Amino acid sequence: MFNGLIEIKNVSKSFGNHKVLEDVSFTVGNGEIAGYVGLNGAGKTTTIRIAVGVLPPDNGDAIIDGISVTKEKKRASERIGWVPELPIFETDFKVIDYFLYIAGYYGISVDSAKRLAKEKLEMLELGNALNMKLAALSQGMKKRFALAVSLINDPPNFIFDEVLNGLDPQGIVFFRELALKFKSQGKAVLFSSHILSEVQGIADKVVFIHKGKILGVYKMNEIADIAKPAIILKVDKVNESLYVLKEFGKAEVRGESIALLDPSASTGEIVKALLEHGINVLELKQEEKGLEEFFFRLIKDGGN
Amino acid sequence: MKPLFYDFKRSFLRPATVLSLVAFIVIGVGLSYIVTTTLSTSGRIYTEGFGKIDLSNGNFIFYFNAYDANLKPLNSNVAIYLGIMNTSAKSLSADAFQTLKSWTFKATNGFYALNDTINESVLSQIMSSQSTTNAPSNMVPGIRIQVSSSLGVSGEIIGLAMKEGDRYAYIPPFGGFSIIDQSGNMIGVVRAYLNKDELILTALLDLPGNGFTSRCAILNSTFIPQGAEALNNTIYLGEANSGLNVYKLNLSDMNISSSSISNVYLTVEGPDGKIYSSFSLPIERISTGRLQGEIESISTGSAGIALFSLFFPIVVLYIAYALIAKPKGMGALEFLLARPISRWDVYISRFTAGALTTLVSSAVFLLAFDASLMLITGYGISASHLVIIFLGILSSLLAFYSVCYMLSTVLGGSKYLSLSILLYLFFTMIYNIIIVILGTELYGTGMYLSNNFARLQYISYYFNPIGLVNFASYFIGRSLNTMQEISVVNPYLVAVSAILWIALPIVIGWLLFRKANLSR
Repeated sequence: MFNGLIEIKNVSKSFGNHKVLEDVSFTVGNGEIAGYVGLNGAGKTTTIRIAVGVLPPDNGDAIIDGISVTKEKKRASERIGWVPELPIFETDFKVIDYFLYIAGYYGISVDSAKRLAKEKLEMLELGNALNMKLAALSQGMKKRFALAVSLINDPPNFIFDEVLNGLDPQGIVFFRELALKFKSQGKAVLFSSHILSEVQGIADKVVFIHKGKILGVYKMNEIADIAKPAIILKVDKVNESLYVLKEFGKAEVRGESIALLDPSASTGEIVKALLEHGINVLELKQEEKGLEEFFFRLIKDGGN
Repeated sequence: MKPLFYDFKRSFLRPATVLSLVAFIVIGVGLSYIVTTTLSTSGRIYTEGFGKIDLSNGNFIFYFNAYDANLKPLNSNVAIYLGIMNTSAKSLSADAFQTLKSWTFKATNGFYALNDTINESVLSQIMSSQSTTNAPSNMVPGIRIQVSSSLGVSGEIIGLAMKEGDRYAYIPPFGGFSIIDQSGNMIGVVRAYLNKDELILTALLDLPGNGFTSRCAILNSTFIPQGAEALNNTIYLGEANSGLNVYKLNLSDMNISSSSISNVYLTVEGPDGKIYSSFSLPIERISTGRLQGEIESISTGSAGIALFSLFFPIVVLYIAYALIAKPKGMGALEFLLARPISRWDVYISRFTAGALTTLVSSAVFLLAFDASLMLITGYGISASHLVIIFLGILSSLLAFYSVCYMLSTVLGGSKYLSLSILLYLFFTMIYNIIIVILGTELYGTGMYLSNNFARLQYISYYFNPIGLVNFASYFIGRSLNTMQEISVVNPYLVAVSAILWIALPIVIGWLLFRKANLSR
């Protein structure tokens, strides 16, 4: 039995001598939005291209609803939609013609495909662009067209690859709401981004990738817990303080101050412990840590 | 719509393909004219004509008939000039002829009957020039006739046959022999042809009424009957009417050897028993198929259809670019591959679309060429030769397309274009130059070169995708007996070569494409 609808299993990929993915595994379940976060070049798009079947992996496999992409590509592709960051089409096609052409691969007759094209393209505000050349579409329109094509058979799984890049605020809201709508419909949604805050508010969990390796998979509430504020202290005895503070978390010297990261106790308890060891606290403040810092710290820590 | 048909539609209907095809069709029509021009200067046509002028009222009757070298009625344009000719001119050319009146007509299906009235002033000039008292003896009335057709031209200047005091002035028969009565009155012209065992007599007659019948006597070189003896040996041919009369006799049915006969003469008998008779006229032996052979030989030669197979590969390499190399170079195949489709589907569907485009383009070009040839000359390329040349062109283009398609799976955009153009130049020019150099090095420049060079050339065609079409021309040439046999040409090897040239690049291309990174 499979654990989720989109399963990436031990996928590795190299381009020449450059290892792009190394034993990447994660799953996205039904009715779940998974953020896929990593820096540019981390391997997100390569993972996604393997998942949608356009790039064969060196090792491992992508399983869509229990169907192997490498072994049963056609069946697997019927069950997944993909909106790439920069959709590239054959530019000599008109919007309607390319829709009909691709609908042919889904075995849809011309008449049905025409009806479907009208419905989907109008729904995505491309009704006026039917006879436009694909080359003439803006980035936003291309993404909406890619979405329209992916909705031809309303697949139960969806992958959005850096889809918010280059969109206006309206476009960003549209795709975020769409992801939530798909989630409510029970679809599995993988939403990739190089900015963690982009998936904040919609993702149920986040898969972190860095240099081709998965750093970790965290539920959003776990991330919120981990991303607690740090305590910045100015004390009169720095070395003794570090000894005391390590009982409460990771402490590091920042100039004349000490930063206590992820404190395991309340501020009051920490100050009390310092005083009991004869250390005077000259200044104390709390530092707000965002998701990005969490992410960068994750990278820095190598996933530990 | 099935994606394959969509791919075919957009590869066939793309501007580059359509424009090239239109250009090649125009070239094809042009080639038909080249064939016609070649034939019209060297081709043989058979014409005959007869006419008379009623000097009492100016009524002018003229019958004309034309056949091509295969005795098929020939559409021709005829110009007739009535005037005065200078018989003492150095050459009886158009310069030596003063036109008084002219006619032009188009003899559709070979035959035409002209009926007109000549006005009095022209008549009087004709009559006065004929008069020995009123005109210099070297200026006599005459007719200049010019015939032009797609398969040949002919022209003649002849003096009018008229005697002072006679009612009629005759245009002496040209191209055949006159039929006259005992008083010397002409009623027509006759010409005799022999096509294998069939004797064909064509007679243009102007008869004074109805109820006439025709008979003929077949002669050999040692038996030339005269008078009553001749009449006793005549064969009934059929009714005779004014205009064109065609009589056909099967000699083998009559136990007459076609090789032994040399002459024939025709008699026309009126209802009143009056006999009109031709002189003994020589039989012209027709070799049918020669014209067809000439047309096909020119059509399938280097100045004909071969031009298509030489230049259409440029379109073919562009089709492979448009279907695979360009979208692959852009990264556009990835979006397509994310659909329920395998790489093999994309690979083979687009190959098939391009192959179909090549097939349809070749067929359209050949049919257009053949149709225009048929329209202009009345002859097309025979069906079997059309199939051979079609297969030759198709295999040649498909082989080159396969090679280009293989390249397009590994090279994108401009790299593909550069290499495929280089490849085209290599196979159409550089390769042949290498073979010439090789031939010269191997066999020198003496007599051994010509003997062995053809063999070397044909060996080289096995290893050149664009060269495959030459085998089709060779097989047609052999069938027409216009080419000598070349031992290295083996139809089975040609088939194997074509299959390998088409199949191997497809297989290699697929092995490269199945794992290729299609991202930009």
